[in-house]
Amino acid sequence: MRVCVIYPKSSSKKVITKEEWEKKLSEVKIRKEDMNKLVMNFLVTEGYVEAAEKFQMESGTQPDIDLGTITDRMAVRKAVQCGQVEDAIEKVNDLNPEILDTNPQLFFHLQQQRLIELIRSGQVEEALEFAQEELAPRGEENHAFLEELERTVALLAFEDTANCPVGELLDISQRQKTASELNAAILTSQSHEKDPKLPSLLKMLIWAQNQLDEKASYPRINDLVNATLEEPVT
Amino acid sequence: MPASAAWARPEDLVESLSSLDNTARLKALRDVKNQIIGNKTKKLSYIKLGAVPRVVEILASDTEIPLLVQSAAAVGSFACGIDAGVKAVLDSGVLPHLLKMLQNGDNKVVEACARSLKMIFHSPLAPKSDMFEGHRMELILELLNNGSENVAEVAASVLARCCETLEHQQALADAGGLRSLVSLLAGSVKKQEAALDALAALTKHNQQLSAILIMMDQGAALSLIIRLIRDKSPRMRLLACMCLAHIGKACPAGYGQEDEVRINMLGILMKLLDEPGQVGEDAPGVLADLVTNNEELQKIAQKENAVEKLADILHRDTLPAKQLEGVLLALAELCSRLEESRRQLLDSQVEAPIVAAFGHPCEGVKVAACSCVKSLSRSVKNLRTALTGERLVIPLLQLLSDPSSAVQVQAIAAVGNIVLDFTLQKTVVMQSSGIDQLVHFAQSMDPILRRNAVLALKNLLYMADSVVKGRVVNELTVSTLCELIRDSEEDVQEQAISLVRNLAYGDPDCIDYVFAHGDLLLQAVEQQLSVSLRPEISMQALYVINNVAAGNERHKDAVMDLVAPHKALSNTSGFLLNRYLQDMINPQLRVVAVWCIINLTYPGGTGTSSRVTRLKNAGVESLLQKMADDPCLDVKDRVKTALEHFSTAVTLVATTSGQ
Amino acid sequence: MQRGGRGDGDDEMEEEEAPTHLNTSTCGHFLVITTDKLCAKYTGEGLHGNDVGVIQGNQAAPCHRLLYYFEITVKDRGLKGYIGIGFTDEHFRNSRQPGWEPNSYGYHGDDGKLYHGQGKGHVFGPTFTTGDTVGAGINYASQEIFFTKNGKMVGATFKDVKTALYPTIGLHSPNEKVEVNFGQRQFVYDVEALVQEERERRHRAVENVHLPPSASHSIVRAYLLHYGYHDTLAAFDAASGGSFPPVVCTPHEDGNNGTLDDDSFALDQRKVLRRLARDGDVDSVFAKLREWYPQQLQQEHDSNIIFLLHCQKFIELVKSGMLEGAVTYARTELAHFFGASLDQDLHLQDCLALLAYERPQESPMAYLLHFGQREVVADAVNAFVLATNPSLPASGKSPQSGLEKLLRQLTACHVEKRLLNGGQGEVFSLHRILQGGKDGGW
Repeated sequence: MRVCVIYPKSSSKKVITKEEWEKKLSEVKIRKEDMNKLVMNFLVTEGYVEAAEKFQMESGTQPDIDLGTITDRMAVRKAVQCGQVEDAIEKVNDLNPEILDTNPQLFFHLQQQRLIELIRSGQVEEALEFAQEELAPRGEENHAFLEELERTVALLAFEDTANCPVGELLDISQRQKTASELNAAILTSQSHEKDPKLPSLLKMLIWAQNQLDEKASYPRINDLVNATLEEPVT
Repeated sequence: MPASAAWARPEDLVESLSSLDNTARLKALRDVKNQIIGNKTKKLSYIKLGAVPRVVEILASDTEIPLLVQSAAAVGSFACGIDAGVKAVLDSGVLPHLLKMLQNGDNKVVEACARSLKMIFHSPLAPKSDMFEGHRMELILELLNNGSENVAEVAASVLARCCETLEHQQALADAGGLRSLVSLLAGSVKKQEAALDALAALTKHNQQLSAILIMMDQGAALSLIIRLIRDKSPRMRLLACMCLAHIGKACPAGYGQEDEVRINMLGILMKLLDEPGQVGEDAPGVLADLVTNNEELQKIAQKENAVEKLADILHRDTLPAKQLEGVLLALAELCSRLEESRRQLLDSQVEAPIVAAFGHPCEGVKVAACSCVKSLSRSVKNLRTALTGERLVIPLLQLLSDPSSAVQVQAIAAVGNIVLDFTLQKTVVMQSSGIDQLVHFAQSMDPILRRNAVLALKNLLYMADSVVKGRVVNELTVSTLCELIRDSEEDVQEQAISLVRNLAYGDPDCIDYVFAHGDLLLQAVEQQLSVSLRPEISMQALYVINNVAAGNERHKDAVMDLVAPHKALSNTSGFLLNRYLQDMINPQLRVVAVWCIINLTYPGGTGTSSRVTRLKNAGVESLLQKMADDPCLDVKDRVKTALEHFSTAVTLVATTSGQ
Repeated sequence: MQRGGRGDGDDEMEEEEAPTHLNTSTCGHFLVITTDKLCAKYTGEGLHGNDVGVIQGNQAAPCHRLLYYFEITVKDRGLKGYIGIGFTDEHFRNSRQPGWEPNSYGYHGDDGKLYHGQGKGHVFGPTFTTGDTVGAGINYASQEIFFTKNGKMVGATFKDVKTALYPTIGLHSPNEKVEVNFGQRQFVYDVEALVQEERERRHRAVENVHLPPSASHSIVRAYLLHYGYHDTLAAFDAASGGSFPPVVCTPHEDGNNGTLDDDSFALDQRKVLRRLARDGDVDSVFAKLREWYPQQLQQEHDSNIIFLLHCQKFIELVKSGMLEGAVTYARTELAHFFGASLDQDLHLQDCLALLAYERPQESPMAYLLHFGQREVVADAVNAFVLATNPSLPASGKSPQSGLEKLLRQLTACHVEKRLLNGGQGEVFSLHRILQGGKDGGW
């Protein structure tokens, strides 16, 4: 639909030395309270309830959510992270029964995680029974579920599960994935943003640097954790 | 296996639900609840084991908070997502208990019960009107002001689901619901969404409440809703669009900037079609509402490729009923007027999915599929080229015997269009039991069914061959047809008379069917012509007379006897056609009336001269002479022809007498 | 020095003036303008190239935003429909069509062509005439000038003019008449949708960026360490317990210690000091500092940290209602700071002004009494201690947390990018993003 008529080539890059850039950096005004808010938002969204409480006391920063609701959410998260999926399910059902009743995909992933935990602990018979009774009907309801179910059941076919093609299901990251999905669903049900702001800002930083790269050469920060300023590429 | 090993057999669990030991009862309750949440199979099996009445019993007679909370949650889950569950909890008489518990002092109990109500009322099986008895509605409305985030949100959702009829809407508005809901719009995301949902229910087809909402707080409420169509949350956008679509549809006066907002909404809804989950499922239905009766918007939608986009969705593997219904309805609306949209839709190979929708278990989907075919078949070109064959027509005809009358009405309407022009379809209808069914519906007690059936039969007879006509007359019988001509509903009368018109069109064999039972039919038509005040009916009746008058000598004479009986010759006003020749309001009526004269005086027939004489005596010629300068060109031309017929006849008479 | 509260408003966030009507004072000779200054009619004869009736908006298009847009509706195409819409700079000749002259852009109704800086147009879009609504806009994000007709995007061209641009219309044949909409009514074109699209596009691009795993976690942890939020840190570590990898710390190749070690420097001392400062116990803070950092404190005698602590002591006295004590304290400990620096003077004035109010907590200086002010002092003390770290390069700067460095970098990148665009486009504000709540702000 869009017609673009005249597009000249962009001119040559501006070069900004480290000294110039550092001066610019020092002119930026960053409020301590904004940083505190950012940290609080991270603690609250990621569910560090005790840390959030302490942080409220130590820094005077108000959380943007009732801290009481985090405790329950975190108990749910922790249960998944520890592989106690049934426990997590019971807890989330106490929190709000609608979450799992109206979110088939999340429910399936939790059941899948249960199956994974059974396989991990070597309970082959129970795993098979569980797959047939609990998961297969969900697969009939949704084709995408069926494929995931098949992938999971494939774990049973390998003696050495750690090195099998679907071994990543047994990885801790799979638990994290399930835990995050559940955490996000609970947050959404509580009208809260499901992602903390900090990671988005970090992504924005990388993006903004890439954008600026097109027009200028300046000291980048590539190592986010240590926030070290690189020498500008000329 | 930690859990299922620990779980008792389902039968034992159900038994424990009635245990006298509180702890055991609570444990069983929790176990059952946790097993059924998210799991339809489990829900069904526990329903079969009779768990529901036991759970409800706990809610009815226990007092301990945890027991009450858990039982309410279990009831809600049983009712979530499966009709059998809704039926089971309702059969157990749960409603009064849930409502009573809304006044419980513990907010957890209140929340669980309100949530349970939300689940129950999500189903069409729930008795919505029950909620408007006594002070129940006030109870829910009070919860809107509850301090707990969740309770207010859930209460608004309950309102959204309960409010179905004009009476419901009025009762809610009278109790101050509109104001409370608007104030929720300032709350959290979930509250806002629930409030929009409820406001959409309140304004649907309700001109009065829509107008109040438009004016509320000098338009501030409306502006807020308009802002929300751009909210970050897709569900919010959808619900805001739904609300505005309802307001716009109900309130023809509309609101300022409405056209621009509608165009914006169209764009937003088109994007929402791609959203996963509930939002994407509901979006097409809202789109259908938005474009209804708005040709301008339909044109814009067509240019934005709405038809192709919707057709693509139609081709997906499995669609939830709601989404399928919405897509079909949206397509029906988009194709209701624009030929270009129809062409686009047919180019998208949608016949198979539409035919599949005919066999869908859900009533709404079938109705929507019929509407879609109805819209498509409004184009004669499509009838000839695309909507061919038995694959479409036979399943459509089967819907004529659908148990739902809503489906029947739409199916007949679609059949009516389908049979209009294409001989193959006519044959298919003939070969199947189509005619039987249409004849059956033509005698239905439901006036809409009756009208649509007669209309369909009428279209079936359009340009049909003698075999089809013969069958219809045989099956329908002349006496039934006469009854339909004298039906209590004018719509039915009109269609029935125009059925006779189509019957009488063509060669003399066809016209003979009109006389299958002497001149009974013609008399019935004549009777309506003399009494009816509706020009549409008069018009159809005149066409019948005209078509018969175009037949052979016998037919012409029969018409003469009808319109100018010998005994009434002395009185010119007695001549039936004179009234229409002089009808200055409807030139169309004059045209057809003159056509009748032309056919009756057509030169060369053995009885022509005698008919001309009779007409002259009835004062027709002088009347025609006065019409020589009729303001309607068409009338003027025909009058000229008719007068020529008169003079030719005179010449002929003169010649003959001179010999 | 960090100051909270008063005078710290979001200065760069002020609403820019936008055009509201036609500028009749610079309008050309060949036009009549209605009294509401929203309708223009051509009264010239359109005989040659220099009797165009041109009129601009009363303000330049505001540029501290994602995009600017306005519309005209052609009421009468006149004799030939020589109607142009577009943007021109401040010095535009008011007898030439927008687009014919340098630093101007115009979309013309008679030929549908796009003109930019010369009398020859480029094939662009449809012609427009009586009844049509045509719009012109500047997309600062993509640096494009775009045009619409009857609610549809016609096309766009690169915006190479970096100076301020005015919305402009030009009429050039008898009886031509247009009405302009500067946003007082809803636009026919859904400009909001374009804004949203632009934001979504950027949002998607940002979300597609890959982050190293647990980067956020490490940054938060380093932040807590840096500021000595000890209890929070302990709770944070306890909760992360094993399910997250420990903070990644890559030792620098040149043998220097990593930031992590800088951040954990003197943590025990900083934790105690922060708690004392948080409780408003300034005396104990002084005592501990003297005990642990006697030398450094001596060197810093007149410095900011001492100043802030004294001020805080004064504030705490006011807070507890000991006004006389506060006055005495001010005379002995605060007075000599006057004249040291402008910043300190301002702060001192604010502090002392507390005495002037019967209810200082309702005064404009109330911010000094809030918890946030103790936090300011605690942060200053913390920074002081961190600066005593011998492994730190002697740059004289107060050390910053990694998070702060990242946020500075983020803001600087946006500022620089805007600068390179001639200072146009949305102003990035971290503060607004964090305030934005559910809308996400920027």
